[in-house]
Amino acid sequence: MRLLVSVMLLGLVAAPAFAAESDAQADKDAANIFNSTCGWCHQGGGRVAGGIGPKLMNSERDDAFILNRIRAGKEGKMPAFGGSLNDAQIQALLRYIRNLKPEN
Amino acid sequence: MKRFGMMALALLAATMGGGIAAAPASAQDMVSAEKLNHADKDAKDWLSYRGSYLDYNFSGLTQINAKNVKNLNVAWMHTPGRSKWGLQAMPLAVDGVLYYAGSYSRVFALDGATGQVIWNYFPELDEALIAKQTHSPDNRGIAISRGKVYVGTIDGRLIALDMRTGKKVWDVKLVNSQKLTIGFSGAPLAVKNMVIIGTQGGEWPVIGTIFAVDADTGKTVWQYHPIDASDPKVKGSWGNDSWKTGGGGAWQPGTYDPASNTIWWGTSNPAPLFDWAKDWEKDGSRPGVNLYTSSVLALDADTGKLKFYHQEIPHDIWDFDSAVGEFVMIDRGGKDLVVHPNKSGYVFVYNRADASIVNVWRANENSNFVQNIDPHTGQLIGRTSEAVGDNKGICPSFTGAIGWPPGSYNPKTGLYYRAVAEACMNLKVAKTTPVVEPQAQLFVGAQFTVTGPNGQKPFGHVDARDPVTGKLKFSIKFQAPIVASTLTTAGNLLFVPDAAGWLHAYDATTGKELWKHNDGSSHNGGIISYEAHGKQYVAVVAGCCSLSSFGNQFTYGLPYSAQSTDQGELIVYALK
Repeated sequence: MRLLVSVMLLGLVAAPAFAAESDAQADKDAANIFNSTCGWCHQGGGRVAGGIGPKLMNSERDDAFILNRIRAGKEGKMPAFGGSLNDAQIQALLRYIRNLKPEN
Repeated sequence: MKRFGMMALALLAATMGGGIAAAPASAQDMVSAEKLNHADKDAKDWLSYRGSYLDYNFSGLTQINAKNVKNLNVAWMHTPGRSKWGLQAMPLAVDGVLYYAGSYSRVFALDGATGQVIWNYFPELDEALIAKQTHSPDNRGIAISRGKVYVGTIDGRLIALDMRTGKKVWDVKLVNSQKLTIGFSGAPLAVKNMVIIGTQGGEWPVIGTIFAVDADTGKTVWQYHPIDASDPKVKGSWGNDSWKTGGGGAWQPGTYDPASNTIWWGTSNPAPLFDWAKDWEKDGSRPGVNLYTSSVLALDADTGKLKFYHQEIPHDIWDFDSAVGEFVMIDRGGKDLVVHPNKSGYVFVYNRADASIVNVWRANENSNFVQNIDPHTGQLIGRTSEAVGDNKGICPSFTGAIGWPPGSYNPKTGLYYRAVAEACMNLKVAKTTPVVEPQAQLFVGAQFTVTGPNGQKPFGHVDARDPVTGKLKFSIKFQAPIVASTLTTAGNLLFVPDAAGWLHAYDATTGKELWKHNDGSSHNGGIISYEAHGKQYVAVVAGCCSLSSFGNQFTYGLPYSAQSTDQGELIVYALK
């Protein structure tokens, strides 16, 4: 138990979870989430295929599909973020994806 | 009854075969510490992750050799099921029985001659946690000692199974993975009466740990945090208390030097992976050299105390782990050396006594993250920095010039065979905030794309070199980088499992291709050779894909684009 506690303590940091208070804040959070987490699999900020996850820019999937995929994930493909992100943040991620434009 | 009889026969055969210790008096004597210490002399078995503590990935068997390898054929196969991300583990073989783990830490014991299942063990895992993890549910291997098979789990447990029956002996929870997200994907290492295993941890805002547990009870003997802030030297190397979210996992097994009772183990990169500091000693997300990340550690096996170390990449901003790579024990000119390839493509040659630098050479062609690494001191020369926004054309890519599947060394040819990737990356670095509540999330710090060098697509090669000087003997080019182990044998053979699905056999001296066979899926794990009932076998795992080879399906078209990511097979070859 002591070992477990010590490992836990090392992982505990004061930084808050994604504390979205408004859409504007949520949009800022979404960029942070993408730069920190989503971009690990969705390359080029979601603009290109080539990583573990598919290209997200100009996705033909509808909003409900994307929102559900972020929340529930897909076994062996994509983690489920429903327990880590709140609804405002997940909606902000959808807006981030819909606003993706090509880069030079 | 049948399986016990088979095991008894195997033990009897091993005893009569000579060169192996007498039949064990008890289960705990099966694969003793003494046997592991001398595994390099035991050509019939494959007793630890890289074959023996010498980390050679070399088989001393000669029945299959350069003259007759053209007659190699599939002897049997095993399909474990539920193989998300394919199979990535290194099988082990003891007394004619093959043991291996598939995805979800499912463990199998198979008759090495026929593939007949002797037992299987499927642990009950925290499926809700696995659904939230990025690197799940791959497993890269097992360890065996004292009559037991040991396997780590992605939900933070280490499990011991009776190697005769597959029955659970103990199951201990070492990491709060539900909170920290990290678990165990790498293989354990059996040392003396202990099992050593390290956590993931380079990509998350948590701190990794290396555990040593009692092989018979599962009780923790010691634990070592690569980022131990109780050491002022360590704490002082992380500005702004950034050590608290510093990463520093230790996910791949190291090795053990019985002569000095030292465990050699590599640590992962710091978190976040990328950084925006202009002056990395003073600013950025984690100012300082960030001890002991991207480092090679020498730990006292009995206490876990750090004896000495070398930080291969101080303040790593490229994800150039030292957790990847074997510790090849070479004796050269009266000196005891250790050769360790870093993910950056630079290969470090150390004195075994103190990790002082003997030489540093580079395995990859395309490299610009530093001008060089000093071959006399190991210091980075002309290192580049990253700024917020676009940073293009950095070589190699974070996917690594050197991957985690080990290379191999053949003491007969004196050559070291290593898969190398040629790739670069474009980064868009951002200032990000670590997320640790309610559960740790990836802490990357940039958007990125992986590219090939000079407008090409990424490509790979397997090189045969002198392990100490780096002098090239031959090089074999591949369309896609190899993300699988190589195997070399006393039969003058080099086996290379490629990403397209072909298993190749080459003349280990010249590099001439002698044979190949298509396994139907890419290779992303281990390959071994062993003997069962007097016959030599070669066993390789297949199934797509490891993290760094996932992009192949988008990059190269067929056959990569058609490879399933939820199937895996163990394919075992023998002479017709």
